[in-house]
Amino acid sequence: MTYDTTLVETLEHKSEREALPACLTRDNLSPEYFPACTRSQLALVVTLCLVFGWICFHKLNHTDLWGHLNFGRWMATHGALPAMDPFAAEPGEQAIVHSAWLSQLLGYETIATLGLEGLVLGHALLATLGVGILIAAIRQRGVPLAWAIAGGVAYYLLSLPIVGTIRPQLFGMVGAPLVLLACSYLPEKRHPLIWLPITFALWANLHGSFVMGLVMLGVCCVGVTWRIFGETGGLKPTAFDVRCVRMWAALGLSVVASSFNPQGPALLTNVLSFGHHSALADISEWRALSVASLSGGLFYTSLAVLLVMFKISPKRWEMRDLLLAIVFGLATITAMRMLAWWAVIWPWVFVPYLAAYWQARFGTNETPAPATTMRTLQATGFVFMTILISPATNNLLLNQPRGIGTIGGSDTPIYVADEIARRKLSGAFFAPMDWSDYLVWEQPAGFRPLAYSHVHLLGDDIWQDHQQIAGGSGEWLALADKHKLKYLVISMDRNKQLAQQVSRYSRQPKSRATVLYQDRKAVLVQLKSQVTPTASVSEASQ
Amino acid sequence: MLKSVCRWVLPPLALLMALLVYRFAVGSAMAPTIQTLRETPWQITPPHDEPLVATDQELHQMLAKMVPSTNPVNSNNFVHGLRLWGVQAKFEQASLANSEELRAYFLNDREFQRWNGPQTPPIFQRTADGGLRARFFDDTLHHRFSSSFHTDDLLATFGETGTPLNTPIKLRQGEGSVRELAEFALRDFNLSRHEFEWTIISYARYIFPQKRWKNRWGETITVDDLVDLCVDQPSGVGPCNGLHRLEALVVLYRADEQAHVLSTKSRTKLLQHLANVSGLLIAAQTDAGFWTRNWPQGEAGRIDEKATVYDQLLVTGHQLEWLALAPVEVQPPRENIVRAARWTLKTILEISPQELQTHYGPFTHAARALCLWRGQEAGEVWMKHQAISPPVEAQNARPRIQEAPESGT
Repeated sequence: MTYDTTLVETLEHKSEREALPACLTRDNLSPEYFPACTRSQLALVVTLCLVFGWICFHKLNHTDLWGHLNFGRWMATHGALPAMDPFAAEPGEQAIVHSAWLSQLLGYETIATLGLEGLVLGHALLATLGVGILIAAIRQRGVPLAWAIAGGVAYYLLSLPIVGTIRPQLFGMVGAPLVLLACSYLPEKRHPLIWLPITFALWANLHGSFVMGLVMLGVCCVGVTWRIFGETGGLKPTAFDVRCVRMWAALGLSVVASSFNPQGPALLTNVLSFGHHSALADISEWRALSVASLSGGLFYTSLAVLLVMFKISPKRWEMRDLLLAIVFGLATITAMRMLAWWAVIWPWVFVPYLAAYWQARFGTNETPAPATTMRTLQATGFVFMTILISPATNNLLLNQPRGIGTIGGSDTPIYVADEIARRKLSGAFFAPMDWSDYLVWEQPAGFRPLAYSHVHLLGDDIWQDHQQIAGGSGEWLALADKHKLKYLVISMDRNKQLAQQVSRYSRQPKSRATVLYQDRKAVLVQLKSQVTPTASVSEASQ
Repeated sequence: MLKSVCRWVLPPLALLMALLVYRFAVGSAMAPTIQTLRETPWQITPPHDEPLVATDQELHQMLAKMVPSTNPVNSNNFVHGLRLWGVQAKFEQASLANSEELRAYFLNDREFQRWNGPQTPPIFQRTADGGLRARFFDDTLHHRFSSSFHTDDLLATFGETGTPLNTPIKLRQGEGSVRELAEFALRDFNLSRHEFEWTIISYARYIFPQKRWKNRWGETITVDDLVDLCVDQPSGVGPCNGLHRLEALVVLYRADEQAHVLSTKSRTKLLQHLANVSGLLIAAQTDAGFWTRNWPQGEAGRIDEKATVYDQLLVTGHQLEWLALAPVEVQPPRENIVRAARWTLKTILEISPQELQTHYGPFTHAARALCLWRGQEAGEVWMKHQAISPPVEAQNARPRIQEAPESGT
């Protein structure tokens, strides 16, 4: 529909233009009942769709996914939380810290209801939600939406090594942006005092990373207090300043809300002591950040850029921002795993300074383009195409699920697991740590791993023995007998030496090892129990 | 208020409508894994007739030594017997199993129990998802010699003997069909397997020209993947010195001569590989005419001090067998073939009955190869001479169930 603009253009007086009815002055295709979108809002939708779609193409990495799903299944089946390790062949004496029980249960219910595609969908939704909330948090700092979107994209790229893998920590990657969103509103607004504690109450049951959220909030409290102290000049006025009270109230309420979990307030100390288990030293993400790695490169580049921007931006740096950078920067250097939290705070801290610098250096006074319905249609169309192109949503829509061979990570031991389930094997077994979870998932009835992904539940000696067997130690048979292992599931790629040792041994005349199944990726060996205790060392060395 | 509500509701509603239209337009039914199955397997007939390989009389004399004995009863021997003799051959002695009996051993569990005893588990079993599979050698430590020795070797033999897919299989409980075996074989196939040769032969006979399918893990397998799998494996590695892979390639190629769906790239890769193997065979052939397990080494493979007559006959017989079905352009010169065939014939005629019985399975490949090089199947040769040849004496009168372990193929 068009209209003749001649009348409008010939009018000279503003008041006469204003007297014209709206149907003559509004744009052509913006009915009042359909929303209009600005260019930036359209960009936001496109960005979130791209993040969602990209994550949907990720595979289900088996690093500890199946271990968590095993716990979820156990809880759903038994209607209770396990007090001790219910899966290991030799459970440790350590009680389980139930910091992720809710995510494990949700994960299991998702796969039970929607299958593997449901897990992929859940992964994509959580990752997209995290990006979206962080964009909102950055925007709330007074930054134009376009810059906030850029910050969200930067967060996604920085956190890709973490966000790209499905695991309960993804709930933390939603919780942390929510904390920053609350800090963007606080201390001027009060409503975060309601929803932030609810967030922490859920987070404390979804993943132990709620502690990171409390640290973020605590650092922000210190930073805001410092700022207010600078304004008031005295301790007492600072302490009674309503803004200060709101900040510390938010922290106090969040700490209290975090106690709403099966372990109560003790969860906080239990989570803090989690990282000290000796087995974690062998897990790469718990090691110190290496400069030569991708994660190291991302971190140090972002740190350098941040320091430069602090220096050159006309925006006055805030203590809150500086403290966040220092605390999480140091934490990331000590453990690669902390890069996830650096990736959250970095854009929230960095983008306001960048936006101010950009405005000062290149800013224009152009009037932004008006919102139009056409852009809303474009956004809707983009969402539609994203749902069609993304494998998870398309396959759920058409009820054509992809199988584990397509969705699972390439190293997921699907064939040997299938064989184990077919034979209904039960007993203690050795397998690479990350394989054990999937093997137990496929054969839950009595197939018990020497070690699986929850290594923090193991005794130190068991973990060491597992590593020795995995490395193809000459003592492998003695260690297998020590732990009464009935089966060995050997990776042809990662346990080459063990595979050679076992192969050599199985061909001996009185060997106790029988190869039950073999393909190019795995060997499944059955071990008969030894006749005499001293036989095993001399047997294997022949 | 209404405007505000509409602004929130209309875009998601429009999206939902679009998705519903898409859902019902595209449909939700999963495409079946195996869409086209030939009812009868492709016929792969021997294209050559080389009289210098063996005379009719020599063939018959050789086949007289290769009659399928039932003492001891052994599924591997029976399937090789069925493969060699096809479905036509009849033997006079009661201790010998006719072709029909050999086939019935596999297709009728009652017959299977008659040979192996009622305590023996059936050779075909239902899977948890209702599929049909053969009991495999490694499934248990007991009853191994009544099981299938190689993955899908029974199905491949059904294909080689022209057994239609709708052929019923009488199970211990209920009934199945060869079609169910074929469907399970493809659903169960993956590219990480060690043994895939017989599955590929079965695919080539029954399923080809369907070019792709999904296994039960959701992975798509294509015929190009199968060609790559056969060609890319190191020569000489695998069951029977890796030689069944060559047979699988030849069967696939010959099926494609009728179907014409192989991509140019795969066809070229396949033929190039076979030609390369022939080049190695020319270099590796001993003066006597046989090949050893070291044939992939070319000329250096002529010497193999550890090779027994069994090794030599196994390798030479298998090589001759795939060459008999291969196109001329990838074969070694006829002189090499004839030399190998004459050595094979002489060795079979001279070999002791005990050694023949011990290695019956592998040696049937040699026997079949000689018949194929004369443009015939063993059953045809046998029945042609049945009227004029005297009955063959049996080794033992009564069948008995296998007890002692036998060296496998």
